[in-house]
Amino acid sequence: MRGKFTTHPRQFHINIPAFVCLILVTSAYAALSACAASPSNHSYPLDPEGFIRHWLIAGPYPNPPADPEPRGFSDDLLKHLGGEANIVPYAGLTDKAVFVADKAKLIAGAGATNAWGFTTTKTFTVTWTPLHWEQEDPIISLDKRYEQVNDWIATFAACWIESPTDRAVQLRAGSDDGYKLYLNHELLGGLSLARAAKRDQNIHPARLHKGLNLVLLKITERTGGHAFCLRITDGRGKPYNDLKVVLEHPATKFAAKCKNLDAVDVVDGDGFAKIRLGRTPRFPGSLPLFVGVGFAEPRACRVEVMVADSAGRKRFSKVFNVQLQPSEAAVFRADVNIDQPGQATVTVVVKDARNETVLARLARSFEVLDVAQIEQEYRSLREKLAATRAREKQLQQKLAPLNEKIARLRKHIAGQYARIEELYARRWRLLAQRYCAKSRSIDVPFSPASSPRERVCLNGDGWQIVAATPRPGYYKIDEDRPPQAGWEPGWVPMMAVEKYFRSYFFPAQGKESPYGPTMTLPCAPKGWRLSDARLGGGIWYRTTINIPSRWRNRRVLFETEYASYRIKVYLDGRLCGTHKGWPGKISIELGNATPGPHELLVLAQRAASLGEVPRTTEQFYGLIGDVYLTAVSDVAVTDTWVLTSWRNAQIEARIWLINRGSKPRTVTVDGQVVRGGRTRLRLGSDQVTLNPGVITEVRLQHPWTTPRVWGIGGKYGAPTLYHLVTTVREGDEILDQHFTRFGFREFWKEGFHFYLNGKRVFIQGDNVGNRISSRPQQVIWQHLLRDSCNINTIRTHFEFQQGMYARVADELGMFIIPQWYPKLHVKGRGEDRKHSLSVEEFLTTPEHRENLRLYAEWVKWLRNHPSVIIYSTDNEIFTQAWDTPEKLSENIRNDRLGAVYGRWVKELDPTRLVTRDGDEGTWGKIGKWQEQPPADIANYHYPDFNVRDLVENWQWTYEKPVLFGETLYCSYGAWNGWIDAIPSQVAAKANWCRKVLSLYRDLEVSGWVGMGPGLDCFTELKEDGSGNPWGVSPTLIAKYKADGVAEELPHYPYFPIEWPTLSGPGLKPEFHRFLSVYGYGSVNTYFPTLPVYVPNAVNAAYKQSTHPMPPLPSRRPTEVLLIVTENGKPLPYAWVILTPASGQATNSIGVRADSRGRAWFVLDEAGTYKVRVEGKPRVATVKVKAIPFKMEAGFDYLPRISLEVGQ
Amino acid sequence: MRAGMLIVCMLAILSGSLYLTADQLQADSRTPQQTYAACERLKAQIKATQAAVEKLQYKIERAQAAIRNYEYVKAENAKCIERLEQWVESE
Repeated sequence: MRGKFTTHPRQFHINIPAFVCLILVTSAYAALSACAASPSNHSYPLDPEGFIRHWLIAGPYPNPPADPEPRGFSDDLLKHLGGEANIVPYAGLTDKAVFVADKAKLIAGAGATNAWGFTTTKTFTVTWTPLHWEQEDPIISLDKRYEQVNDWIATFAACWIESPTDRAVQLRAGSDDGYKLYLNHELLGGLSLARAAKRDQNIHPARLHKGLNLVLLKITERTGGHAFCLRITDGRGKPYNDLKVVLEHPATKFAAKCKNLDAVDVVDGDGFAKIRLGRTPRFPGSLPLFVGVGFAEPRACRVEVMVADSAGRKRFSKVFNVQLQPSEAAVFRADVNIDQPGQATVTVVVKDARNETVLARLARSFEVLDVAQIEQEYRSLREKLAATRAREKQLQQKLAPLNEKIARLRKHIAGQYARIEELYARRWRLLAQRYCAKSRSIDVPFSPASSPRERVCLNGDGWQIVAATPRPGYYKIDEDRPPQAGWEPGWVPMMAVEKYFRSYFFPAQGKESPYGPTMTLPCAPKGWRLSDARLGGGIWYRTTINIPSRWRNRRVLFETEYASYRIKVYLDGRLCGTHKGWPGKISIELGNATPGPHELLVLAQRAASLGEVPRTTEQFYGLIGDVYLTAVSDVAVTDTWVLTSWRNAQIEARIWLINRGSKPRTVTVDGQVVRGGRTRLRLGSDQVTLNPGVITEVRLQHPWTTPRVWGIGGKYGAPTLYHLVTTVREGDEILDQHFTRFGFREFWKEGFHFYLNGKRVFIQGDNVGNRISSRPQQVIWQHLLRDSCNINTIRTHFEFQQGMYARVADELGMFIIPQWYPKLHVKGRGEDRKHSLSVEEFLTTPEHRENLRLYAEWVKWLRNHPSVIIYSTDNEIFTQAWDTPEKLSENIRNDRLGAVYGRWVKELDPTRLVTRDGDEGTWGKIGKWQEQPPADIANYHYPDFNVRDLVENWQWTYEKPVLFGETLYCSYGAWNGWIDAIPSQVAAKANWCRKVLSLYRDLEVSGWVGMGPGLDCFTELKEDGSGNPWGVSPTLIAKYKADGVAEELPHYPYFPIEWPTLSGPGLKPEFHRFLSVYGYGSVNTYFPTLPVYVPNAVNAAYKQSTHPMPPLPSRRPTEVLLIVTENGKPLPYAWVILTPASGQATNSIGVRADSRGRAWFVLDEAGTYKVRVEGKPRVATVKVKAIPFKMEAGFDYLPRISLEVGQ
Repeated sequence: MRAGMLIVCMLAILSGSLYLTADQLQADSRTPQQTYAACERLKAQIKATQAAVEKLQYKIERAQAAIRNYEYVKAENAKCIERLEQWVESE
């Protein structure tokens, strides 16, 4: 044996990954990790709470969605660096992260092949980089850290903790979403889940060695935010003040300084060495020894090199005196004969030149293998492989029959569903036989009678507004008197808004704060301003009405469909009535409405002005629904409800009548069903005595076996609508004739599924994102949802326009799931849930009684719409997102209270199903509690994050029909750091939708509501602006953000809408707002020069991954614009009256024209009408045609008819 | 029939013997480094096969859960059909 120390230049290239692998196989690196840090190491303190704020970060790595969990959690993402359990990171260490594309999944022209939206495989260079977190919040955000990807990724964070002693500690981690935690190369634990990061979410007991301890955290990200935090405490959560964070291991530092060593294996104090003994595998025999040793500062040293075999026998020993350097190691080579298998140890002792003091002890062990043992291992491995393969084959054999059994079961079950439908059809045939001719439709001409009932729509610009006079207190106002001055031109419906939200709807914002004085944005149309009258605690509206002389002796009612929160109605300064709470129809009698002019005055005030907690967020309030004057006689119908039962072939009309007179009246009430100017069924009649001031109910029932059922198209039937005509007679005099539009249909649940008219139907829904919509917008929107996404249902989300949505859906054949929400806490207690009243206590409060009243009004409002199939009586009172042990009792309390209102609504309308969105009480056995009696429908939000447990065997899980009331959360907005609809995000969303929706379809999930096309479809922010009708691009947005206005699109993002008139039914928003994020904003209803929409990849995903749906009928609501002139000049504010002349099921209908003499009618039926203007003798005839639907923006579809009433 | 079985048994014994002999011969001619490399290959094959086994076990578990679910659906649907049949015939 011989050897010598030399110094020489580098001999080989650096191959970091291979090198790291090599040294890790030898397992000697553990010694390095535990070695003491060099005194010259730069270190950082932990923060006062023990959080680590200095890290080495590496990412992004792929974490693609997979079943049952994204793959990045279980995959070893650092295998090219030796593996997650072996990595020794340093700043500048690089790696490659491959984001694999699967070409087989490529959807021609639109799709992506992986979760990141890439159509080809992409490889990114990952570099470990220091991160020093200085923000106050210790949760370290990784959002938008990477340019290329934001979702379905993983990030690593590492550092060394320098501990002065061995000690037991706790590592307390928080992560968004999942994490894995390693300490000194050992896995402490982890979780694969979706969540937001919070401190101390998971606590891991661990042990720190004296010296450096490597902490490695893998943070896996699904969608949304990406963040983590970690702190170190003692067992009671108290932080240490003597721990330090080190980002650069001394070995790395020495290796970087030393010219002739590519790596340093061992460090002790200021000494360092690279030590090698042969290469793996080593067998007994001669092995080449390499030792390169250096020191932190130049120093004359005595170096002893010793090699011992596994028995401790010295196999080599040499002592040298040498000048050690930091920049150039002293290198020694020799051949050493090791004849004993086991651990051979190379020890290098560095002493001072006088051999008095040990400066460093550098040692490494090497495994020398036993030849016989390797042979034995080889045989053993062969046997193990054979056994494992046998096991694999056995399992394959076991799986095949299971899959066959599943296929057989599914086939059998499909046959059962066919049988169920067959039974329903048979029942229908039997009922037809039983009822014989009397149950069949008739076909005789219908002509509406002349009755005292007339209605005039007062919508339009003939109004003035003024802010209510403020009073001391939070939004307090003078509720009794409007100001004398300050009135300005206004219109109805007109919404007032909470100041904070003004920029949601208008090109205006608060100066210096969201609550500050209004500042008009530069993008607003010239001269436009937002009136302060629309921003206070209350708003007064006033107009002059001219009661016609023929209304003498009639009752005149102020009617509206929606007004928030409380309204007070005055006629000529006298209070006529008040109403509180917004859902439903409001009817207030105007006393003394004698023929002639009167001032109609309405105050609408916010709940806050009454000191009440708002029911929902009070973003808008005021007279937002249509405003009508209705004239009726003393005896009149107040309400009707048409109940149709497909299963029993029955129709029932419930009619409520009032006698507003002073004497009892005996009347005959008869009902008939009409369609297309023909009577189709007579329900019979009833005689009833009406006492003064009392509301009396009359019920008329009849079997009906040949109706045209209302359906959503195809096998379910076309959306056929009838009218119930209720005629009230006293002798020969007709006191009232009332029309109620309805569809004959029944929607129910049987077993695990929903049925419409005897056919199984799957709910494929969308949550409408529109806060403010209009009828024209809704018509286009519902067509788009069906045609381009196979959507058959719209779930509302507190929107006040539920009635309008339902009217459009009735005509087009869409389902509506409306939603309303209760108050759960008494005034003043909402913030402090600990002091909530118990359910039993709450049921004795006025708030509970108010809930009951408003639910009843809500049901009455919607119950005649065939499109309304399920009532959702709340939203996420208790859902998995806030299911924590400490809040369990409060959560269950709230949910139990919600269930009370679910049952109340079921009691109000037993013909419909009721659901409570996202609430645990509906989930059955998997919830923390179960409603009793059990809910109609299990409603789970976002099961797509755990399809194995929540979707795959949904029937077993929920034991009833399930509605995934929200799923596929929107991917461009707040939860994703406002990433916007950039192409990669759109493509990623399409991929995810495709996967989840096809699963729902293939598993025949009874219902789901996407969160949905309204948010994720129809929009894409492309560089050239071609992803939306407006041409909005990142460049344009940047210009707008910089200058407040983008010249190419000067009104972006608030596009002023030019309505043909503000008269006639329907809210007419002033602006269409489109930023770039959400699909519903991107769809263009109003601007004829632009396309209506631009589909994106998510559209195709919805369309191709869901049950096919029949197209909607190609028609619009029947509308006409009458333009009234007198001697060639517009006749402002004229009451224009249409009277049916071809059997249409309606009374006379009036619309007050706008200031330009324009009156916009929306009619149930086309045909010939007589038209006249109040106070003018001339009567004309107009033919109103049905309007075919075309996917075109603007108002060109609207027929315009001129009417000259002059001499 | 018996002769046939005998031949099959003999062939099985013979092939087993040949396998062992070949293995022994191979072992004699291999260097320790080659044996080590063969071990590494075997370990990789075992790891891959174990992964496939785990995947199969998972699939079997899911298939069993699916069968339990579909058996349940089938039984509940049968009850529903029975109820509907009675209801229909009640007309």
